[in-house]
Amino acid sequence: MIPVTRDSGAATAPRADSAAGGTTWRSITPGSAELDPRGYARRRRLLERGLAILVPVGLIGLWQLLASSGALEGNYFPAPSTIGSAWAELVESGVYQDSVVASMRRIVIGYLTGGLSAIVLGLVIGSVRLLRVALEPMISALYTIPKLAILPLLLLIFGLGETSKVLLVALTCFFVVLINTIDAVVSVSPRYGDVGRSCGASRWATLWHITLPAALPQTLTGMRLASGLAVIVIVGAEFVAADVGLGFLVWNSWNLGVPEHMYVGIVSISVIGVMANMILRGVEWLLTPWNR
Amino acid sequence: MAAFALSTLVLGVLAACGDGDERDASAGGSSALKVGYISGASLAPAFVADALGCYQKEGLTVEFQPIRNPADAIAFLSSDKIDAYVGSPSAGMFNQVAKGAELKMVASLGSVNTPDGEDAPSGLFGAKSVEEVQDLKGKRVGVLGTVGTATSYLLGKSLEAGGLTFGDVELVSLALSDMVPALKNGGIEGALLIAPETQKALDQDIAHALVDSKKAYGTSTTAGIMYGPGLLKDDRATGGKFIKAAACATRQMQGDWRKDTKIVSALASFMKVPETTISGGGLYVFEPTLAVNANTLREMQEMFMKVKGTLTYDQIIPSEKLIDDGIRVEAVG
Repeated sequence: MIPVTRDSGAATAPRADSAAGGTTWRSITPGSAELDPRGYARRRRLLERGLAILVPVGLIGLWQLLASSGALEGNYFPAPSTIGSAWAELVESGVYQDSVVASMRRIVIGYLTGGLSAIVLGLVIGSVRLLRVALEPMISALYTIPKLAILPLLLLIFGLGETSKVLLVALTCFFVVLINTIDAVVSVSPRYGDVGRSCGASRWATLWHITLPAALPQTLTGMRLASGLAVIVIVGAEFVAADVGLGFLVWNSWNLGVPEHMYVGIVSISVIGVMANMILRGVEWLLTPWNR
Repeated sequence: MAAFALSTLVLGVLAACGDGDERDASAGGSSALKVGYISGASLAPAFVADALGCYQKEGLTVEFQPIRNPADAIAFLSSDKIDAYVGSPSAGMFNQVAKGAELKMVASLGSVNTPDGEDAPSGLFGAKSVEEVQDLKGKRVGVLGTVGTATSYLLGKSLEAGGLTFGDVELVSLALSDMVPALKNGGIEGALLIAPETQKALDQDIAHALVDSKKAYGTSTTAGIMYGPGLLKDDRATGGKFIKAAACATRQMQGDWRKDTKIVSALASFMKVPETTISGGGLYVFEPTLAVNANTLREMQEMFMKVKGTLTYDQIIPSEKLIDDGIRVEAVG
């Protein structure tokens, strides 16, 4: 390791090693980060925030410019201002609210049903070795089935109503959360259990006070992954088997040759995904204070 | 949002720079065409013209590109990614033309106006609990796609025959193959079926025809050929050759063409279905003139305008903006 000395004077070039085995010193001139660390940090934060805002604004501006000048095919790549007007139109007519509410309802009910049942089942399967050995291969096999592929079967069994779509979301979330929960429970150090037992903790107390908190971070990561998949799968289902929802809005707008409405749907889906992720990160922050 | 804006920009630029393959015209006068198509027996002449030697006769090399969704075809056609589209007009086409896209219908193909004694290959079917069209009021009715497709127009005409409109029923968008099972399990109580689903519903005693389709929409022609700016403006001669070839195949498909093994074999091979599906399927009628029925396009717009959000304009587009009859007249006479 080369020692560094602080020298407020003029910068000096690194010196070549003077003698074999001798220590080489190098001087650096203190920059703004060293002379005014708080000011530097403030400017740096400002720059980062500025970039986070300016880059999207710049890209949207460029998009607007290219679309207005005709460089982009306006019929299929409408300008952001056109999309904005279309958004306002859809809100005014109520179509937008209906679509968002329909998709959100399917996502929330399916996500909570699938996710919460998977946590309960995952804790049990992860805690009982024989159960895990018996069920894990089947769970892995079922997890890999593309859930959209079984939508026609769900429609056949449960009809064309909401049940089939909610169930599709629930099934998608279930396996992701289940696998993460089982893995999380299995990864809990046996030492924690030993400590619990030596303190006379019952099985229930061990599960509640030791296994669950220890497994929670990874389980919540599974919940976060599942939320993204829930959005993706409901959009796919609404493409083929719905007459309201954001997926239907995207698909139908394309079919009707109104791509500006399609973009409204796509942006909304993306916003829902981002918001779900933020909410779940908040939940994670609240539930796992030791993990902050 | 930045990622979305960036991906849209990249896609837009890629679309603008995309391969604008020019039609090849070799020294021998042979022209190559890219034709997008939706598979269906109502469009048969365009598909069997190759096997019947009609394209060769016109010096055409046709590359067919399957398209699953009519909206995709309209996008490809208006941006010259394909030269012609063999399929059906739709609300998507009307909306794009209203925005200034250059695409027009140049010829028509099959209709359900079959001879007496021959069932129409499509129609409005009702479950056993439904006796007549009026019984469908307030009930769930299956349709391929949503309001705005050519099939929805046929359904609208069938409902009209019984005094109903789209507003009187609850439309359920379903794939064609899901309709008979949905009729069976009570998911829907009516559906616009297309052969071979019509026969399946009758054979399994699940549903029955509610309307005489020949009366409801026998003279309408929703199957046809559409051209984009390339064939409409720059190379009308090649456009004429394609229509001549389609007319050549149509002339050989008069009467019950399902008995012609050469045609059945060629169509089955093109559509990738067993020959029995064609020979035992519905009969479509092909007029040798290939004349487009302007009235059908007007009626489609009128019907779709009544359903809010389907068309983005409120004045019927005049037929000359949707149909270019000049190429057909010159080619077929």
